[in-house]
This record gives sequence, structure tokens and C-alpha cells, in this order.
Amino acid sequence: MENEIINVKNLSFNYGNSPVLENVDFSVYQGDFVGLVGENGSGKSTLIKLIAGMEERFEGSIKLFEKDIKTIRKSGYIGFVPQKANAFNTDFPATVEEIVGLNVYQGIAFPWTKRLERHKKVERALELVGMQNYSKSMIGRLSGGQQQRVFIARALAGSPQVLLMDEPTVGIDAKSQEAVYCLLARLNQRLGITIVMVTHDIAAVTWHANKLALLNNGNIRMLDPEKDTDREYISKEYGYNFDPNSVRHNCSNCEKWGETI
Amino acid sequence: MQQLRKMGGNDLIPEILQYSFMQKALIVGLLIAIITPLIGLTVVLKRLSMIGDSLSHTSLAGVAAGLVIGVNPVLGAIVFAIIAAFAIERVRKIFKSYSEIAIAIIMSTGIGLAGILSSYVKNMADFNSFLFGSIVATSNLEIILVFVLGILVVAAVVILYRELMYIAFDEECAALAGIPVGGVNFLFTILTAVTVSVSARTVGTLVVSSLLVLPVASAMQVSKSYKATTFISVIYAVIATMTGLIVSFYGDLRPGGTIVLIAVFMLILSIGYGKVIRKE
Repeated sequence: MENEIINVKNLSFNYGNSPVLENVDFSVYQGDFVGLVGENGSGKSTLIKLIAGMEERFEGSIKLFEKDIKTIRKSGYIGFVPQKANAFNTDFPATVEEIVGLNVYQGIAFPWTKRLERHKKVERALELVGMQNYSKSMIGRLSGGQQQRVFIARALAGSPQVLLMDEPTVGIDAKSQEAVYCLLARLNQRLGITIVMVTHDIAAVTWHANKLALLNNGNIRMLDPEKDTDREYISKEYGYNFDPNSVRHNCSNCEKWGETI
Repeated sequence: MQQLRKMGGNDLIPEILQYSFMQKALIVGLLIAIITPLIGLTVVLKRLSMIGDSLSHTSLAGVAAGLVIGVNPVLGAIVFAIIAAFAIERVRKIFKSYSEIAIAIIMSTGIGLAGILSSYVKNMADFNSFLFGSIVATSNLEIILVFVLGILVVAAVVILYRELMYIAFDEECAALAGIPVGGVNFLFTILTAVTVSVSARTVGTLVVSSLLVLPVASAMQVSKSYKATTFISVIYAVIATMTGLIVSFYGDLRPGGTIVLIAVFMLILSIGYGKVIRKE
């Protein structure tokens, strides 16, 4: 039996008087790579933030590892990667290792507590995303793709069991986008990290994720990109036609990043 | 200051150190120069650079209220500054996309209140000493107050080093990482308010916000990490304050204004140096 990591039941959420999500049911299992797609304003980012526990005004229930999201300590379970575009101030005077180090330990502690251990965790997280040579670089001086890899490393530094990502490939070039997908697929397939990713890029996510969650009019529909009927539905709804000769993502084809995974 | 300088001397000790008022000014100046950038770093990175102005002007209203009702004006300044700091946080949540509006609203309220309350103050010399500061007339009690505040601020910044950095960088992810964002912000708001009101008593309301922002802005031009920015901003503030006090003593200038202008000069040099090292 699959191990359920996220369980959302009868979830409803309103912005003022406008309903955004209505009675949404949604489950994510260990090892899933879920692409959460939908039109602008469909509530994708709201749903991912609700699951991350960033918003507590909702009706229904959200459980993470069978515990109520409102009571669980999220750190150690969830790694969150925000949209790069509005995530930070590029003039922030911090190095890559300082940013990644923010997530290494939990609780209030002196800066020198377990310094060596923290340094090793930062190094490992940067290695996972192929950014180990940039540890002393200022975060604002990196390219968009590199910055996004640093944010993924920051999330990984907390040793999460599930990565929640809000459009992590927005604002970065196509080559870097593919590399981010490739990295995520490796993290998912080789390290077993469960991933839920909000995206507009249905083509890319279909070839990397093993499930698609389509959010429409406040409701969610789960699809399996490998099923013909579901692919037909995606073609009909999104106008994206799958090339039957294409192959799904295979980590052994990946190059460049994430060689250490 | 010229009249004070006419009092006595010893050739072996530099003239500036022969006067107890200048010894106290240098001690309190050093302490404030350490405290203000430590608070200022988070203030600047949270894009609240004008908060010092807002709080210092509101603390003036507290000074006036204290003088009117016969309570210690420093206490009045601290209470008003704390109320103003929380009011800013509250108004910021109403105008989420325009957080600087909160600072303008509270500053206007503070100036308005200070203006009205000051008209009831009998001894205006007392009130004016808060406006322009009185670093060369610092009492022993004020030195103790600044010293205690300094210990509290340094301890908070060291213990909450990661927390303050994470909140300034990304408040949402900081909460997700288990940081008690509300509690840390609450403590930081109180520390900011107390720092501004106590520092305003010695360096003046017009100078305190400059000391919060200018050393940090200068350090950001030349530093290559958050840690370096923290240390360099303190070093800059100490250099500006000490040089300002020495120059004002020998040049018979107002200490507050001299300190600010030296800090501005250091910022200009840092911008130039920053451009050079970025090209390299």
C-alpha cells in the first residue's frame, strides 16, 4: 500500500467573498512527482501555500504525514521553493552558503553552534544542485537559473521529505528550465524526495512528473500522463498534443547538474 | 563647547580626553555607534530605512508629554516610540504593497502630536536638547542606560543572528523553517523603538536615523557577505562617530551634524570603492 504523505479533504478557501478552492480532495504519496497545473487565478499557488502551512484560514482538513498541518512542525518535513521572481531582494548582501545555511538547523541557537556539521550540510546541498563552486558568491550576482538552484539547495538543506515548489522555473531561460526539471527528476527518482510543483509549463512537467493535478474552477482532477485517456483529456483541455514517440524523462540521460546524486 | 574647553588641561593627555564631558561623549558615542547599525542592518534589509525618522519624531512627542505631565522625558520617549513601532507594523499589514505609507502616517502623527504637546512645555531648552541631542552633556544615568541597551541589542543580534537574517530575506520561508517570526519581530520592534528613543536623547532625533541607515548602506557597497556587512557597518559607524566627535571638538562644530556628514562622506567613498571592486 502506498504511503500517503499529503491528504487534503473538503478543502475550501476564499479571498474575501470570492471562493478560490471549493471542497478540494487531493492526495500525494511517497515518491510522487506531482505537477500542479491550472489557469491563472485557478488557485494553484494558494493550494501549495495552504499545504505548506503558510495560510491557516481555510475550511476542511490538510494532513501531512497523518498529522494536522496546523499543529505539525513543518521544518524537517517540508522544503519550500518560492517563485524566484518575487522571492527576494537581489541586493541582499549574502553569499550562497549563507542563504543555504539558513535552513540547516531548527530552533534558536548561537551562530557558532555545530558549525562544522552545518557547513557539511550546506556543502552537500550545494553539491546536489551542482552549485558547490559558487558558495562564496553573492546571491544577487548569479543568473536566474543559478539563483533558483540555490533556493532548491536551501530547501534541501533542511533534509525535507517533500519539496513544495511554486513555479520554480518562472523567469529563467529554456535551457536552465530543462536543467531544473532534470535536477528535480533526479532528486525524485534517486533520493526518493516527493515533489509537488506548481507550473504553467504542462509540456515539460508531463515528461518529468508521474502525476498531474489539474485545478479548474476550484476543483482538482488527478491525471496519469501515461494513460491514453488522461493524455486525451490534457490535449482537449490544454491543446497540447503528446508525441507518441517521445520518451519520459530518464535520469540516465541527464547531464551537467546533479551528477553527485 | 568652546567655553567648556577653557576648563583646565594636562599636556600628556590629548586635550579632548582631559574633559570629563568629552570622555562621556566618546563612551556613549562608541556604544551608540555599535548598537545602531546592528539594529539598522535588519531595518534597511526589511526596506524600512525611514523607520528611524518616524520613531525618533514620535519619541519627541513622548518627550513633550513627559515634560508636560512631569514624568522622565526619556521614559515618555521610549513609551511613545514603542507604541509608534507597533502602530507601523499594524498599518504595514493594512497597506501590504505600500509599506512605506505606514512610516509616513506614523511620522506625521508623531510630528503633529509633538507640535501640539510642545506648546505646553514650559522649559523649551529641555525639549530642544532632545531635538538636537546633547552628547556632550550626557549624564551618568544615560551612560548606564545606553550601556544596558547595548548589551541587550548585541545579545539579541548574536542569539537571533540567523532568525533576523532569514526574516529580512524571506519572511514566509523563515516561518516554514520553524522560526517564530511573530515573536522575533515583536522583540526586534521593541529593541528598535528603545534604541531610537534612547539614542535620540544623546545624538538627537535628527541624527539617530542617519546612524541606523548610513553605515549599513556604506557597508553594503563594499562587503561580500551578510557577516561582513554586519561587522563593516559597525566599524563604519564607530569611525564616523569618533571622527565626528573629535572634529566637532577641535573645529567647534555641532557633534550630531558633523557625525552625519562624515557618515555621508564615507558612503560616497564606499560607493566609489564598491564600483571598483565589482569591476574587478
